[in-house]
Amino acid sequence: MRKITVLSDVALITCIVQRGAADKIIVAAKAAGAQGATVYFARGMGVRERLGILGVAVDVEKEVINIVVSSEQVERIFEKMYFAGDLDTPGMGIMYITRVEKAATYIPPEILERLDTAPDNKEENK
Amino acid sequence: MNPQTPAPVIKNPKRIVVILPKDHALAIVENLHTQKNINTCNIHRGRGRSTAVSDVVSYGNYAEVDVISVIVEAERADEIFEYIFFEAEINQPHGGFIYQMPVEKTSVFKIPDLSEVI
Repeated sequence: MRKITVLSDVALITCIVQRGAADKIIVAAKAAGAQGATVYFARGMGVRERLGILGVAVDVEKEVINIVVSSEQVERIFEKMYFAGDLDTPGMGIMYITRVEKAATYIPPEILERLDTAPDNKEENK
Repeated sequence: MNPQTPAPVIKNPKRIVVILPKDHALAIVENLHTQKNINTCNIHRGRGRSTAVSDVVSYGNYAEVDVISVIVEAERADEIFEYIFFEAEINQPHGGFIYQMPVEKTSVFKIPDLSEVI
């Protein structure tokens, strides 16, 4: 019978930065424990227009980073990404966390077996 | 539209996001349309990086990925989540990733009825 092992207690970190800035943020996220990341290009507006002549320093092309992490790690990874992207500097970008209800992916059988035999899960599996 | 008329919305739907290997998304969207009567999806392409890559050479490198985003009514969310999970073979190694999140409300998208025109 087909079965989905659903991951709960996960959160999505979305980070919108200027084009070219994503890689160092992802490196920081991975160093803090993130398992993967997805990046895509976008075009943004907002602070660039309000900065007047200084706005030329803000790239209109953006990179959007999506990282799904466990709720346990989310605060730590968020903070590492924030500082890696210099988001405390005006115009550098914005990031936010979204609650994820559930997630699923391929889980190797040996890990599933280990989970099933874990003392905490034995009772639930009976 | 008359500003007095409230916009038709669906409250508390779910957003399902699927990250798939390159070129896998369109077939899933077509199947969602034909088999599940879901007529609105967004696809975009990005680059993905994961520790779960197929070989040592590409470990830590980026690979092109397709991303599907689909919004469904809450009652159908589990059904569609499960359908995509197996249809896209996310349960296979390097199959991708799927997640679901709550949304406050969404506009209603209807395909126009062209039966009289055609």
